[in-house]
Amino acid sequence: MTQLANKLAPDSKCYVTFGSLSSDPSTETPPKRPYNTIIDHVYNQQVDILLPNEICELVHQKLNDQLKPLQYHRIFMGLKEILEKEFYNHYIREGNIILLSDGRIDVDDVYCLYDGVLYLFLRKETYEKAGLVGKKAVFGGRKKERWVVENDLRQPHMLHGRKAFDRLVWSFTNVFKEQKPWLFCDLNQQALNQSTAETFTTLIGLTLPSTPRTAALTVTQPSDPIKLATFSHTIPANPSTSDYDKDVFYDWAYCLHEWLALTSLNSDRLNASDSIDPLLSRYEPPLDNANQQQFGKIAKISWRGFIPAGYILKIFKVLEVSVPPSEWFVITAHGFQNAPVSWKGRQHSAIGGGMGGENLYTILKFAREGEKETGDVAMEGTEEGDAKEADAREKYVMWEVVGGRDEHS
Amino acid sequence: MDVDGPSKPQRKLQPRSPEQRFTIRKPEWQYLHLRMTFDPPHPPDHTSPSYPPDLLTWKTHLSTALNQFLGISGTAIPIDFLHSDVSEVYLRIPREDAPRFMAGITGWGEDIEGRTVGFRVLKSAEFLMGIAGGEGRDLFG
Repeated sequence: MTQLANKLAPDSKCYVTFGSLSSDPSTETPPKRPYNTIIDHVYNQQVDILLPNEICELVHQKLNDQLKPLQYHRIFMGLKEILEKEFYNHYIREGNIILLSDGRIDVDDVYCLYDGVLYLFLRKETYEKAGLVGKKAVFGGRKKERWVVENDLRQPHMLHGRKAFDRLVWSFTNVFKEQKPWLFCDLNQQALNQSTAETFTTLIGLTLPSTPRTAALTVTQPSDPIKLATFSHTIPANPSTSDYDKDVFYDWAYCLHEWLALTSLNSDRLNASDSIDPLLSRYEPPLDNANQQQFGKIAKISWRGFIPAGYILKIFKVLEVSVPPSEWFVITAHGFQNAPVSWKGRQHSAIGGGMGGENLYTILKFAREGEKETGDVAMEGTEEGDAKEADAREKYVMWEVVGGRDEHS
Repeated sequence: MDVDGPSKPQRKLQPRSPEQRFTIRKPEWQYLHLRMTFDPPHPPDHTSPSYPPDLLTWKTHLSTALNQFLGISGTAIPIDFLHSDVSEVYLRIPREDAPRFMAGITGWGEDIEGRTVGFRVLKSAEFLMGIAGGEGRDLFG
């Protein structure tokens, strides 16, 4: 039975981090969590923000003012097209793009490109024919035999006419003949980089037709209040905290994440009037022992598309500035389940066309204590000496969920 | 639920912003996104007393399937229905029961009102957020 369990879905993990955000969001992004978690998560297909309905209008307006709609493309092409001179020089060597090909990561050949490095995740048969040097992939798929070929296309010797390059051209022309759907996003576009002059809808140097798409934001404002969960918790701040207190905190983190997921699903169970029989569901939102069930309206702002990490960082920065300290927000970014890379440099896999391939993170910024009358957040257990200083900064908790076949840790 | 303690000892350099980090493995629940399948299928905007199925119908069919495959220990698996949407539901079951549960329901089919009713597992994850988002392949279409 255990074997069956492993086959169906390898054990997922959830990393929970609790800390403070940078004190001044307008300055340079510090290279620490949660910022580097956002930046390194390369391929995102869905971003959801949850926040109290009262501040939804304000935040929506700020997002509209400060963010341009993100443009990406769907292209039906072969690997060979990437190396076409004009496209290659413009987008890969001089510019900066991200690319991801379609396919099931455990059975098909899947390709991706970021930071100028092209990764080919190949089946054994393809690898043997490819004539390229690679390494064994960390996650082997069903037959445990997959290979990864890595080529830094920005290396000085990767130029048309050079030997190493021509070997790629030969391989892509004679072996990788198959054309498949790709997603393409130019990182030098106005939505990401203000200094860029104009965003083009057609791609330079590509002979094949491409479909431009826009990842526009959609706002879902609720008509009815839902059952709220408590955000108050105890932080096991120092080693002397008892195991019991730690367990309480872990349990709280797990249950709150579940509640956030239900909220983004707009679950029936959170409906204020829901009174389901315990035979069918015993779910209850996590509550404070002291408090009664509270109700409130929660709005959702979401994007769907081929969303680069830089865009999500921009969204996060707008949220940091525009959401008042007395309010909370939550942002979740879902990765592609079949992407061969989850976080930069971390190989990723799944089985059965995506099963167990989740790679996502959720960041909750707490409302600051004392500034809100209802006092959603009651933080206890912080070391007294640190309390005052640390309180000046916004607190966050982050959940990173990865499937069993993921190198991220 | 297995929990690893903070993976790093607190760094002395930043005593004012302690970062806590820990890992949740083998959590309490397994979450499933299921669809009830009908063969022949219902027309797109069909509604009847038995379609879309309500949660009691779900419970009954799931119990029948589990009983057939696992007997009374199958029907004893507690199911919490979290959300339903036409002929699909999101539910959670204890993680340890998930392999038996999935094996039990996926092999089941029964003729009801002239249609073969069965189940399909659309998604399964140990953290609900994992099935709350899309998988991303539709964007290539």
